[in-house]
Amino acid sequence: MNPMLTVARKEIAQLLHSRMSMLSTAFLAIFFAFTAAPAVTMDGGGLAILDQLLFSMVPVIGLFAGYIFASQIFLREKQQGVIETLLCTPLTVRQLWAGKVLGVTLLAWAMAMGAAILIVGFSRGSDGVLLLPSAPVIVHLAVAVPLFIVAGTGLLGLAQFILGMHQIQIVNVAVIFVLIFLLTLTQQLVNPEAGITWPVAGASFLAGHAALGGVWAAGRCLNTERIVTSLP
Amino acid sequence: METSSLGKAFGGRTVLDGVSFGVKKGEVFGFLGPNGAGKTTTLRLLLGLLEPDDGEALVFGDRLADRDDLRRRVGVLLEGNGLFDQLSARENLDYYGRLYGVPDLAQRISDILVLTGLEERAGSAVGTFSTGMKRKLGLGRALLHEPEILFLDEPSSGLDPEAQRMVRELIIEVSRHESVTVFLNSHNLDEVQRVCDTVAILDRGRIRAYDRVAALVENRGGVHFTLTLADAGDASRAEGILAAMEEVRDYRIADGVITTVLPEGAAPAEVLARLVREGILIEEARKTRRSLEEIYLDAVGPTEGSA
Repeated sequence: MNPMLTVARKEIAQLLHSRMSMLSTAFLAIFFAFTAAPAVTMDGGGLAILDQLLFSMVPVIGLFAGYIFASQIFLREKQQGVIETLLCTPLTVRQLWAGKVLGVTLLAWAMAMGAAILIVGFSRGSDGVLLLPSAPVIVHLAVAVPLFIVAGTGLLGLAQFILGMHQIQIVNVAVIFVLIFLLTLTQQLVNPEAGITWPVAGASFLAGHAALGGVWAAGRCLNTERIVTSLP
Repeated sequence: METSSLGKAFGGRTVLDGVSFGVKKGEVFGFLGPNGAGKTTTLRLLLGLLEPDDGEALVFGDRLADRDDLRRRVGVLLEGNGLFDQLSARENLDYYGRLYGVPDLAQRISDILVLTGLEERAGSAVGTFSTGMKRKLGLGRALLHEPEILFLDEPSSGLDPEAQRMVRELIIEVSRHESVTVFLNSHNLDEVQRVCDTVAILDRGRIRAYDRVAALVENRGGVHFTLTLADAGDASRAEGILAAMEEVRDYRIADGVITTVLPEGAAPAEVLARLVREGILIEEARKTRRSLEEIYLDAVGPTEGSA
């Protein structure tokens, strides 16, 4: 098996064993899905509002889940010194980073999709009928959302690898504020007049790619010595 | 494995300065020094986790940092054991086995679990293990892929005496019978003296002593010689004779027992003969070896009491 996939598989197994991380992420997904869904019925926008909620809120829930999982995977291993042993294995530091990001992303994406299903499940049209998202939104959730989660967790993992513990604490607090702000913003900005079209979904996909490319390039600053000298 | 004129500084503070030593294949090398001496930095330089500022740290004649394939031939047990608390012992070993590409992994994992005495707890989460059990599993993990060189950082810390014995026997076993080279970073002087062929003592970033253990305890600081007088009343006469002998230094007489140190190459038999010629009756004469602890304390200075 590809070493990156071996790492990803282990991270998923480890996260699934971590009851605290799984419960807090599941609570987050359920809470935001439950609080967002009534907007679809109440505002009378129906499908347009559902599409907008799914389009903007699901990636942020995925990033939030990625943030919780990344702390478990990157930060904890650094605090416990396990990372030093992993750096002595035949893996390159970049493979290790990428494998961890992949594992975190797959699980965070699954959580985000769970939240999407809950939002759809809780939402009803004005006539009480279950609404289904439009095709561009489904493609967006399937293709662009994982890219955003990869980019977000990749950047966070990179920071947690190379920064000192004090700096990581500052970054973590900042990330929480940004994510909560984004989640609130997505609920405030829904507009029954606007819709999610194919060009919008396409632009989102390109933005996800650009973010991923940027983070992959930033991965060049990964350095074993930097990681080791920033161990607590 | 060898280092030559290895130097490293952090933030302008020199941590290692001109450290040179070599470890031959199949040798057990003990690396001693007080806290902050630079032992961990040396270990990290050898493992390719840090870049040297001066000199070289080579393993298999190359830098581990540049060679992923060479890292496959090295086993490492660092302070943190390298284990994941949420995963079981078997899952931990399975993960590392896959990273190292261990053939016939399931069988090898079973062998390691038996070797470490953890087969009964193979399915338990490592987070539920005691410190000693984690250490044993960490050691098993380091041996899982049958490395040619084993780096051990305080392998017996947190272990009970029985488990410490197991670790010592394991080190001797892999070294003698499987020709595994062992780099042992330890505070346990007794352990080092028992299992190591060669030892280096590091203090304030410099090597203070470096030799085969046998040669160090035999020669360093001269020949230690203990004489028990048949009649304790001869002590003052014996003292006068010893004081007149140039080759005798640092002698001490208490309760009819003379403890002295002779320069390297001096013959204790001559001292003994001189005393007998002068009519001093000797009940017992014994050439003693210095312990590694005494050598260590000499090397790092009297204020550095702990290894």
